[in-house]
Amino acid sequence: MLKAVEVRHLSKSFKTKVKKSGLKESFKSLFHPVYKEIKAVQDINFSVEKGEVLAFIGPNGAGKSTTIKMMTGILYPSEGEVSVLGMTPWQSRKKLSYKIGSVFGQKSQMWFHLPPEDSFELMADIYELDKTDYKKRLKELVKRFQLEEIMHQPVRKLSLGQRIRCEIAVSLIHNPEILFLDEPTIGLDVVVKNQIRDLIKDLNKKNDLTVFLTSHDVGDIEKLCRRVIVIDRGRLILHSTINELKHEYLKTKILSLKLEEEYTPNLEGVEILKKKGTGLKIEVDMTKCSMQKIIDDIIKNTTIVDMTISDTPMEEIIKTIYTGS
Amino acid sequence: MLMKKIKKYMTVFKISFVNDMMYSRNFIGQFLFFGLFLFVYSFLWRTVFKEGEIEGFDFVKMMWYFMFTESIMLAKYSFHREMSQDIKTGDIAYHLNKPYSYMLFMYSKYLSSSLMKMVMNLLFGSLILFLALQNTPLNPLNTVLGIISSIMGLTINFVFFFLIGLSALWFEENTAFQFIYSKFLFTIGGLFIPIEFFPEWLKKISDILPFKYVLNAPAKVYINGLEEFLKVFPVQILNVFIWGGLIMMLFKAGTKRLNINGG
Amino acid sequence: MRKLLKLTWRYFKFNLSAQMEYRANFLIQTFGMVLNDIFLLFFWWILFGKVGMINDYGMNDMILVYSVVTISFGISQVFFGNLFNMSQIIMNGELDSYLLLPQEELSHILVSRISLGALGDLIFGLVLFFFTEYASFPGFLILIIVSILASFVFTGFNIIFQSLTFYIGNSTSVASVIPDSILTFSLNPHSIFTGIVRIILFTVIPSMYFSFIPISIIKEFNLLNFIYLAVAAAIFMGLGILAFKKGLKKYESGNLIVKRM
Repeated sequence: MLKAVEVRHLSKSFKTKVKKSGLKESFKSLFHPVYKEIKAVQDINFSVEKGEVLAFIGPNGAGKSTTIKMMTGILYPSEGEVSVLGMTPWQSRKKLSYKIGSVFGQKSQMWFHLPPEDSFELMADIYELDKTDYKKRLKELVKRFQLEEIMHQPVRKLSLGQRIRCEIAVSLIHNPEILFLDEPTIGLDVVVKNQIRDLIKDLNKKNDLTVFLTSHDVGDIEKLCRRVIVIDRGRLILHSTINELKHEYLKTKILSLKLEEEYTPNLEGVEILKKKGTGLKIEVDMTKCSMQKIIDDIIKNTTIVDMTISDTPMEEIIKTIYTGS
Repeated sequence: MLMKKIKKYMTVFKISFVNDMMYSRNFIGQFLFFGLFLFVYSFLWRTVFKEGEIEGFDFVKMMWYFMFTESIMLAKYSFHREMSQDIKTGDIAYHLNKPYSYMLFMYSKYLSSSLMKMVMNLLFGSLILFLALQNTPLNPLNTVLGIISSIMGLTINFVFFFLIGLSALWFEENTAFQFIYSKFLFTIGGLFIPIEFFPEWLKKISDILPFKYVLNAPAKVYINGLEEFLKVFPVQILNVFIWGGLIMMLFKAGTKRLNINGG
Repeated sequence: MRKLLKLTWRYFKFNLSAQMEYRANFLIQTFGMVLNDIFLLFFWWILFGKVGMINDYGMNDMILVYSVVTISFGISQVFFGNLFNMSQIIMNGELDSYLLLPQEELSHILVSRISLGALGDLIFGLVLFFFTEYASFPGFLILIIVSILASFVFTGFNIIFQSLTFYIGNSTSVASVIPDSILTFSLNPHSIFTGIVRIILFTVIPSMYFSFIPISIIKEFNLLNFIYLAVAAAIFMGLGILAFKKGLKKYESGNLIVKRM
């Protein structure tokens, strides 16, 4: 497999000025500033394969944005190496910029008072596209992102979801090989979130676009990625495939039952989560008690009217990982 | 290839122009101020020039002089506030991974915005003065040369605004610099009163400093034409290169030490 | 009246101590205004250096004009710091919070904020006065009295325009030109204005009560001029209060269509 991105021992620390209040202190700090070092990213290693969708997941302030900024050449790292398409981002920033697209959710690339069309045109010139190439590409993107109706409305009148669609579309105007998305689904409602996820998936499949995104929404990785990287307080705390993750952490299953008569099982590895009349919700630790055993136990005593077996939600797994770290 | 590089900045210029048109109703307030100043100063200068010319200025020239300096002064697009904010929040970084030069990008935006405002001010001011005085030192050549010199004046001003914006890298609070700079334009830039009226020693200082080339020099080109233009235009160019080169170096050094906060 | 003075004092202390938390900012704003005034005087210094006199005005007269105008403006802005925000307050519906309180509304709005820059103006004007030939104890007393009266003219006049918002909706842009127009006219030798403009400056735009009449009283006490000034202060303050009260009735009866962005 070809690597699109390689990150080795990447670290970044910020210095922030420590300033006490008061005029005298202000003057003091002008000449003898006191700094405090904050380690935003510490010794991170990973790689992204060509044609892969990979997500960085973690709570706010975990170092996700800092990492993506170093990968796109916006920030200089304190230590470590990054290679994106064979280039070091902060050294060949301009050259690399023709080959990557980026969307930073909180920083719009659109001109607020103008319709999106104008921003597209500007970006086409900034990336030095030919007129015919641009027209063709624009037509494609407008169709794929369903922008026909909003192309001529001032950006300030668009909804957040519509704007994000424009932002992603405009970042693809120069046909980049890798797309970097920083929190693309932040603040969106469930329906629009899914819409954006489908779009990303589609772009990846049909155009073989490599996508690297950050998110604090576990739903994003579940829907989009084969692999998952969890970051917390500047460190990688998990790096595995979704399947491995499920296998390793999904040792328990949730059993929701509707019984004919009231019954409380009493087996090792079975925990009662909720019990209300004939309704029963239990968590089964599969290493201690097999499915066969618990079901046998129940039907020996009563009849099962209805039953659902579910995995522990991804959200819960990640939470366990955070607290474990 | 070069054409394409130039074209991107021209598109920034164009887009920014259209974007600003959306705010055009904000001109009304500005015109009210401009009109008021012209009105009040017409009384002052009529009295002062009762006895005749002073330093080559008469009543009509003086009114037009003030209209020209004020049309530039009120046109300057204060992007340095936005830039300081961008530096403090780290948002400036988002400009750095695009294939354009941040400085040229800002310049295109600034010039587009400022030029539009300046032309509006000129049209408004000229109309008022022409109706009131029925006399103008303007002719087609002077107008063209005056506008060229004004663009250079705006460019020198851009360099200083950029420097003020950039100072946010080192100073958390840079409004004092803005304030002092604008006061320099006010006084030794010759906004209200031409440099020619200054005492000799102050005139010499003003000639060396760049401030008079933002306001005083272009206004005099409008009035005196080619002769004045040949005198000041080379100095304006020189100022742009010297100060421009300096901020370019500072900007390069500054971006290296950009500290960007992010999650 | 005593209640109002007490309230003013309380707000003054409150505002000042709140601003003291940001001492650097406080100093920058105050000193900034002093510098600003000095730079304005620069213009006159150059001009008088060139022409000597403009009609009967010389540099000394101009210094006295600046002293009186900055003190009057300073008094108005220090004690009635919300004056220039009234239109906004009415527009944004912030007025409601004042209506709920058991204080007279207009004075409460006016005194609830102090402008720091204006403190600089006040200091500048007072210091400047000691450089004039009229700096004596009686002179100083007269200066303070006429400045207070002049500040009432200025305040009343601005209240009228700020209250326009009650009648015509958003008048912020008109209201913001008003203080500048009075100041611009005041900070010039008064005798340059002749004919109809001179009459306007005594009536519709009362700049003459803001500079010319106060300085002629300081130069040579004249009871008639003093009465003019006192009457003008009473009239403009009265008109301002009337405009506000009438407007407030309209506001309370809900006829006001508040345009909000």
